[in-house]
Amino acid sequence: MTLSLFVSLFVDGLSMGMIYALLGMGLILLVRAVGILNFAQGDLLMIGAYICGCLFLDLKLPLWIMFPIAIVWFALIGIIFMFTVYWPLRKASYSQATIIATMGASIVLQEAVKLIWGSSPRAMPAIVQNANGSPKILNVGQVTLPIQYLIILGVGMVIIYLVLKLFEKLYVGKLMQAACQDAYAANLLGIPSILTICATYAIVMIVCGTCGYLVAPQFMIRSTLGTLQLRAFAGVVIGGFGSITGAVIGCLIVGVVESFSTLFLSGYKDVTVFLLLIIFLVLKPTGLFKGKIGDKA
Amino acid sequence: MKKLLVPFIVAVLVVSSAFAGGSAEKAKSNIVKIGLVTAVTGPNSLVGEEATEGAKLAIEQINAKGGVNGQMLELIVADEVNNAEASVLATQELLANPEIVGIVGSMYSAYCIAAMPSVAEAGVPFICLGSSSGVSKEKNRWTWQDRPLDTAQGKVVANFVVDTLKCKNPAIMHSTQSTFQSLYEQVFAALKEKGLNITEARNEFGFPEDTSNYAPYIAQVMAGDYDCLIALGNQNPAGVICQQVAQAGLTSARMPLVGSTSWCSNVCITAAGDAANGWYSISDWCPGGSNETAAQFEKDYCAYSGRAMSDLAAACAYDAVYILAEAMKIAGTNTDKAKINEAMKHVEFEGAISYFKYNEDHSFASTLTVTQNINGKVVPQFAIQYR
Repeated sequence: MTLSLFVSLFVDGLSMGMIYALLGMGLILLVRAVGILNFAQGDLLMIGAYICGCLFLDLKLPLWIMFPIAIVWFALIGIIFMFTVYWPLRKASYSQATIIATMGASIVLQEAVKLIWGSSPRAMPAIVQNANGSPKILNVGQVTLPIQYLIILGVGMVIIYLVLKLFEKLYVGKLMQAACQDAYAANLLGIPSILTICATYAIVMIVCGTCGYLVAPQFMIRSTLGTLQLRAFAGVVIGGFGSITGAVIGCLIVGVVESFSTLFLSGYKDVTVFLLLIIFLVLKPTGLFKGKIGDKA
Repeated sequence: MKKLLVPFIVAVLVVSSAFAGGSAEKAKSNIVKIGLVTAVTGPNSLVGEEATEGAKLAIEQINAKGGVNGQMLELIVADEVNNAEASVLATQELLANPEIVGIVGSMYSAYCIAAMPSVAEAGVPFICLGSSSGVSKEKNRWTWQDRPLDTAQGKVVANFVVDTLKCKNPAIMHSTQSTFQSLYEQVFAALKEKGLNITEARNEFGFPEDTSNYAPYIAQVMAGDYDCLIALGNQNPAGVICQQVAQAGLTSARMPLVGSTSWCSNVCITAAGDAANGWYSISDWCPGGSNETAAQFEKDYCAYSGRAMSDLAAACAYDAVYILAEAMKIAGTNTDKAKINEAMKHVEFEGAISYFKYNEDHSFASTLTVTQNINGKVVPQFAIQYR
């Protein structure tokens, strides 16, 4: 393997891992907030891609106007998702009811986008382009890297930093965490848990929607984008269920392993990822980091 | 007076319902039903939409000319979603309907193969829209194929790559879905037969069907000493692969880019835009077509569906309905399924995707077309009569 191939695969793996990491971080936030695993996480990413496509391709808004409007839409959709999928079932006798509802929501979202925007995939232009409209490429010696990968890495790191800062350092974040740990006690102290849950769903959708915008130039806008969530699940378990840092590191590992596995087992890259997951489940079932879910339990 | 009124109303109701029933029965007897197994929901629904439009267009045209043996055709669609189990259930649902005299099967050979035992048991003519030679290997006397088989496609790809493009070390990217795994095996064997020194370890890049990220494969192709890229897959991967190949800076100027049928599909060209330019396609369907029937179909289909271009699924389903209708005409019956099935052997006409004539392997097609995408248009280069 040449150095240029190594660098290409490594950067590709890291950028994919970053997408999984953002999805995984969203999963952990929801698990912490309401205690459910969201099986429609990838579909929230897909919705984000479609919304950005609608604003950018149909309404032809420039990026600096499109993105703030998209963020507002993401937040609204997150809240609507919360009130339709989680809220009606929050007191169900079986906690699995909400998880099943997220699976149903996944199918509904996939069919809904096809009803609204049609079944054909749509191309989204790269964020940074050459004068002729082709995606900008960075050439360093023999290494050829699409700038889009570097944007994914950069934006992903900023989002992770902001979310960690919000939950670990800021007062609002601590209020949200307190409400998640014990909603009854938080309500007694005057912290409205409904608002903190709404805020969590809005943040998760903003993160997922932004991921959708980042991957759309590479993967196109299509209803099957949700399949990316499977690798995020694997990364979250490898990192340690409940820890945001663990989810990020686990997902980055998954991305890199997946990328390099194509060298030796090209048709079986998914198998490689899930083999890694099985190895972790057998040898280190708690994952790399112990998260706050463990503390709560 | 009131005593007479009630029996009078009852009598009127009885007589009118008898007449209504009679006319409904008459209308019913004037209809012949054809089934279509395709994806109405799920990730393959675009293929399903196109196949349904193609089949409906054929039925509309046949009915406008007086139908078949004096009866009008009607299409019944069953949803196969995106898995073999659902496809088998959808086929069985159609087979259970005694009014259905023929079925246009799935675009996916693996789904057809899974449904074939039920087809044989029910004894209904079944045209699989998949291209795998595995379908004909099952030797099911009720199953037919209207597309060129992958055995033929493999040889044509190899001939084009080696003889025309003068490539010696092609990289072959392919979906590991059964249809494209089978096509890859045919291409690989044909390239070996042509004397190329290639190995699976070095030249094969299989990718899972649901993957979105082809960049690691493309990076390896660019880092290796390959002189051609052959890509085999469905419509959605085709567009994304074009996009990611362009993003990686791999152009047709650096090495020839050759795809399977999907690379000249409407979905690929529309979605990938400029990134699809330069790609060759070894295709069983070329939008615009390579004969008069194909050109007319393209015109009719675009007017009917409102789409800018036709696609393989539409053309295959369109031709399959015509094949069934032709067999019914030859058999002289719209009800005797065994006679209709036997008459399939005598079908011969110019369809949209090929000139159709019975072959012993139960397939009808005999032509493939080499196309190239130039400035967002599919430009036919030459047609190949492979038998």
